[in-house]
Amino acid sequence: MWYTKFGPSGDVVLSSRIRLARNIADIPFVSRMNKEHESQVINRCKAAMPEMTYIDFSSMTKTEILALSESHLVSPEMVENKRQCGILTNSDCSECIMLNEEDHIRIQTMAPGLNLELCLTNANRLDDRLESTVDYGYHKDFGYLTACPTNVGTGMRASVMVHLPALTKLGKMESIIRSLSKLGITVRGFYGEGSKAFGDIYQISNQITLGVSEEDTIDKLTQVIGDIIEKERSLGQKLYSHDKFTFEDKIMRSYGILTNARILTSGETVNLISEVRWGINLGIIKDIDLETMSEVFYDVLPATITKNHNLTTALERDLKRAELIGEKLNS
Amino acid sequence: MLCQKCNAREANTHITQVINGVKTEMYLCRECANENQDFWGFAGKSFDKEFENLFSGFWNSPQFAKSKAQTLSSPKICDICGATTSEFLRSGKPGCSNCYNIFSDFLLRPLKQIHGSCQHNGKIPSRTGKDLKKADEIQKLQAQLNKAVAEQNFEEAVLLRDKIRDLREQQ
Repeated sequence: MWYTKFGPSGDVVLSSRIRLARNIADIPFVSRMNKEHESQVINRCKAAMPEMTYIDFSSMTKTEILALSESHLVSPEMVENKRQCGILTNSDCSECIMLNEEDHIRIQTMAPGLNLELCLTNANRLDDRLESTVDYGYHKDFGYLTACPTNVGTGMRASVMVHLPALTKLGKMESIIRSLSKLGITVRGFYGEGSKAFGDIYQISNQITLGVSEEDTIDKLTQVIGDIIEKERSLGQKLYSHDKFTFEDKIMRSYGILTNARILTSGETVNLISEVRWGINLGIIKDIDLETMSEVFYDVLPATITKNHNLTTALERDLKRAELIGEKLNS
Repeated sequence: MLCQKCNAREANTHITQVINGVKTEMYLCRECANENQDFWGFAGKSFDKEFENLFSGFWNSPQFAKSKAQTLSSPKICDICGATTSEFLRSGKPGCSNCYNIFSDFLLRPLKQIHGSCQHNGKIPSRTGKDLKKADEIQKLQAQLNKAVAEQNFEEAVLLRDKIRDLREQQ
């Protein structure tokens, strides 16, 4: 899968993502759609993109959809979606078109590390292919028309997932979030709006979509994130050298628990993985790489583990999680 | 004055927010103001919710009461999705792409507040926006032409003029 690969600035940036919101001109938005409209959206998009695989959500269980949302292939909103909906996707799931989510069409492209440019190129390619046969709602002043006016204009949300343990531990996040908001940039938790920043992982994305071009938006975001990466790296080194043995002890204890525990809850795991990742970045842990950590991280998320191993209770899940992590990291 | 967020309690806190150089003012009650202090944004209201509040804050505020009453006296209805003026004013959400044409007057102010602009400056769809794309290109060439003339760079000006003429002929 794309998300286990190491990308540019991969020590701090887990992944980059571009999402383009589009709607079909002659069909009401999802809030005013009937069954007939819902199928029309799906059929027109499927016909426009024959090379992509269509996954129909009506034939899937809630856990299966949750697992897709955990790997960020679909938004959490799709899990509760009562409409006829689904996704068009490519083989490694780095490209996906959500149908009948908040907008008729949400094109989503992802890449490991800091690489919004690549995501935008791929998103534009999908967008142009769709638009060659599908008529989009577009207005010369308002740009691409979306169900919520907060997305009109480019309809683009560019987000970057970052791991910022040093900045978090030093209590710098609040002031960063505040100053970024003045630039029209927003910071959220791992699963977007309303979610908490567990494991010191944050999603940084643009908020403004009208009046700015796609390129300028990602340039600004890339630049800001570049500064944050530098700060995170230098503060990490500083914290480490300030009290070397205590720091190493803390990291190695987390590593010890992660590789030897018998029961691991998802909350505890994410925090332990965060510490171990940090330890790898600072050269304290040398026998594991970040790609393995990413693989472990996604493999043991609650719905993913439940789906892959056919589990039913929370205890079964926590036992399996500890077993899988132990196998992977001790081998 | 009622709180612009919950529309239920009396507003006693004045909050000024500056995003992208655009100033937004809100009058909130103590409870909603406390919620607003959540800088982390995680547990706070979403951006979409902010728009809804901003939108209803505008059109339900006393200063717009007259224009709102006037609009409601000659209501409009969208021929694609059937949304009416009063429905639109209640939710602030368009029912389809066509609603953006029908109710554009109501959208300009809140859009300007939230994005700092009401003029799209990004991608134009290649097929449906062919003419728009050409007009955009002509506009850019025209600006270059004016610059060339001002700088007395007549050779370049002639080339630019021909390019503009060719594009106009294609239209």
